[in-house]
Amino acid sequence: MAWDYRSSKDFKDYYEERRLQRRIGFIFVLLAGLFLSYLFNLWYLQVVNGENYRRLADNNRLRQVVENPLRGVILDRQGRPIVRNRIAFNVLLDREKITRLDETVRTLSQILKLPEATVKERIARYRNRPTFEPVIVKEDVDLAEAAYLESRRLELPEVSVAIEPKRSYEDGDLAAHALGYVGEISESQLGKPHYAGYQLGDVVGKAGLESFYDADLTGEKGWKQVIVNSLGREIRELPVGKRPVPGNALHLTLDLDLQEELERAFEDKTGSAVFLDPDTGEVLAIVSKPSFDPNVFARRFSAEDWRALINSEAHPLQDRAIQSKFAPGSVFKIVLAIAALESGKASPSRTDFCPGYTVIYGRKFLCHQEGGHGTIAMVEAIKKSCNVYFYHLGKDLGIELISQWAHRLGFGQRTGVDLMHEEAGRDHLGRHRTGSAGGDSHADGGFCLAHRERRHLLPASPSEKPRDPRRSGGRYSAAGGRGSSGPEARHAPGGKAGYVGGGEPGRYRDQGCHPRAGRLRQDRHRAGGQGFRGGQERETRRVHPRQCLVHRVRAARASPHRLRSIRGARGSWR
Amino acid sequence: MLERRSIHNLDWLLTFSVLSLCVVGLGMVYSATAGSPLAPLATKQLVYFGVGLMGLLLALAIDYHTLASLSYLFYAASLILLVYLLFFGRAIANTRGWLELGPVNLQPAEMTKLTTLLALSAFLSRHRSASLTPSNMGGIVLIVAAPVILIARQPDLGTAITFVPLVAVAAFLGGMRLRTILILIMIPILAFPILWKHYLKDYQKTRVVTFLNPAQDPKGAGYQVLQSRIAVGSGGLTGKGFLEGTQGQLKFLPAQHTDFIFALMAEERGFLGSLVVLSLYFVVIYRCIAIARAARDILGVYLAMGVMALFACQVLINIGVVLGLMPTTGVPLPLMSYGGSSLITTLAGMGLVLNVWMRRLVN
Repeated sequence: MAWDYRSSKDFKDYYEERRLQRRIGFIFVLLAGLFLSYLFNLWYLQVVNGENYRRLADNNRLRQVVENPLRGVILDRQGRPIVRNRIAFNVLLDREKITRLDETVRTLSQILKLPEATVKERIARYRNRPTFEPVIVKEDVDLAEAAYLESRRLELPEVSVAIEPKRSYEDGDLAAHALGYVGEISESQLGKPHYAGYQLGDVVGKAGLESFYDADLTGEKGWKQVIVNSLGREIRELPVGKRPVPGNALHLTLDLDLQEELERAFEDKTGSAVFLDPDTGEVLAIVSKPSFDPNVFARRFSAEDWRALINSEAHPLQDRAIQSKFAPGSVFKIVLAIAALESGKASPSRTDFCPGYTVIYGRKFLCHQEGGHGTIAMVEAIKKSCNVYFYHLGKDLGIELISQWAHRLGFGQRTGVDLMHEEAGRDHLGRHRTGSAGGDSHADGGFCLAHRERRHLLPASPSEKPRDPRRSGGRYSAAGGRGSSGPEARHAPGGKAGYVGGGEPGRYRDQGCHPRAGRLRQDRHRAGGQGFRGGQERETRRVHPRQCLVHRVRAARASPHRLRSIRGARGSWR
Repeated sequence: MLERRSIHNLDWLLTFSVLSLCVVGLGMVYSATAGSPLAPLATKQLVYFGVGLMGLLLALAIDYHTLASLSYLFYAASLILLVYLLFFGRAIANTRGWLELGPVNLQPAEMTKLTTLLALSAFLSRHRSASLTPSNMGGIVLIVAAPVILIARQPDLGTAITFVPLVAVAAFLGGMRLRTILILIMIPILAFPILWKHYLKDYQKTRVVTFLNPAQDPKGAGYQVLQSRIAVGSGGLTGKGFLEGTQGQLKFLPAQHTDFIFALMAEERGFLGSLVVLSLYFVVIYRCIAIARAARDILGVYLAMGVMALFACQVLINIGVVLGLMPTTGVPLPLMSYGGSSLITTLAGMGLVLNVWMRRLVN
């Protein structure tokens, strides 16, 4: 049955042989031709165009990576740190190394004391990111947790702890409004010329000094060239590039001790206070209450805290020291005095009789001293803050003069302090000049403090009613309304603290407080003038100081110990 | 079976070329997988190489006439195996073509190439004619079509296509008239538009389109071809050095230990390396053809030419894909690509050719 293949001895006959040889030869030539064309193709690709393809390969693998500089620190006038960068520990999860997701999630939620759903949600957030990119499961864990996780690297190879420099406001909400906070640059900021050169994801100052001095604090970005693989993962660093230059240190005029004392005096009350050095205009302390903790903004998972801050009835984000308007209260007596003296309408020896009240336009206005001060001269009137004396003086001067001098003293204008979004005070006298003067102009300075429609920061509600300005000033502003505003003023924190009171200059080196402060939701009207600048203004003809918070910007080298620790940590980061 | 004098009749040039290509391939598989989770594959490939050598010796030791007389048995067995796979095969990468044998997975479709070739050669040497008769042509088509259909059902079109040169070579050597050949060449060219419109699946169309214009979709379907060309081109004249190829080591190159291993070699070894490898492949083909010419009988001619056709076709398709001259198919590079079945089959095939050479002389 089986065919004997070997027996067919007459292998190939002549024609068969010829055909086979010819056709095999044809196949050989065909294949040789194909191989030659391939060889030519390879030569063309590798030798002729080799350089082009090498460039394409380099484009594939080389990537320039931006290295972010450390943000400059902020120090008080004695060089004590107020804002620093600290090392934060983040717990990272390497999704490439996960073998059993459920188990990992369970273990992590136990160790980190997070609900499993939260861990899962944070992992899910990275769904569209390349898998080598680690997931930040928990931010800013304490050292104990970090150490616990690090010691379990063998059991949990997918979990690691990474170090990140983080903005640290050392004293929490201390001077929070002045310092401001940082955050990732917003898309609207990116469009502005001021932020040219910034990229999405960069951290910028969002408020206060952090924002005003952002250019100084930011430092210079560095870059390095790294080799990446096809997934974009960094494989190696090349020895080219530029190290980032840390931001400059800000030396503030603030005095930490004074600031702390002031904050403590405020307790949980609402309002603001500013301490100035009248000779230089330097701000020694600045408070706005209620306050917030800027550290909240440095965290990633803080949406709830954020919302709480924004939606709070007390508006803790509003800087009452520079954005709210108050009746200046008895401070304005100084303005009247200056106006009278400078214009020659009165001399210091001008005396007046205070029976405890006066009647202007048929209405009775009281002095705070029951029974009156009796016959009183100017210096004494200022000292005792006699209302009646200045009611009369104001009447004598007339609205034009008062307005002129108030303006010259800076009322109704910005101080130009180095903070963002400062609001000018209201110059109501100007309005009175043109129209309904006299009538509702109070004798305590001629400022109409009441009938105000509000224009800024909060929408006016139709139901709002004007209130007695003296009440509002007295009750809510730290400094704005002692003196003429009656007994309520004593409840003001400023009044309690003793050295804040606007009506009593001289307790703290004779420069008053800075009562351009405290607009509240409840008080729907704004006070007109801004704070007490008379103190400086007296000497200002010569010096003309500008109010400021920062008196020096120094290179970061100023505090090497603080920076080196973080830079060292960064070196071993990856 | 294997007589002492046969050793002297071994085709040393062919043996040397084949073994050299295997060694180069092992090195490239090592380079492609070093430092990655696939690293154990290099060792595995070494084991396959050993098994392949045994396969080669086996195919060499048994007289090819004996093998031919058993060819229908082999052929039937492999068909049964393919049918079995359709139902119980292990699916890897959507292809139900894998046989699980303990720790290793084998692709019986690869071995089927040899059994089909044996059956085909046996058939043609029994039914000889001055020119190709319709019955012979029918036999050729039938013998090859059965496994091709089964493999295409897995579905593994890449492997199925590599059977086509068997038909071509058999028909051509069997004496098909030139006029018929011309007509047969014309048919697919004319039929292509109809095929395109009605029978090609979308992903197959995408492959063809991106082949014609790889820049159209550099991150998608054109990615492989583009990255492959960049790898080959950036190798330059002398290459970037062993384990230094950036396209390969940084994994820009797709399937670099299997289908695109030639690109990896070209990147790390440059044009000189490509020249050497291409020359080695050509020497293998040249020796196969020489052996076919020197074969003692027509069975030997068909066997040697069949192995050569399978081999050359895979080499040309694979390198053609790497160079962007052909649409992506998924054909491994014989002797170099990672894969036990392909390596063992190719080595056994070479054993068959050496067998023909060794027994070329009539006693």
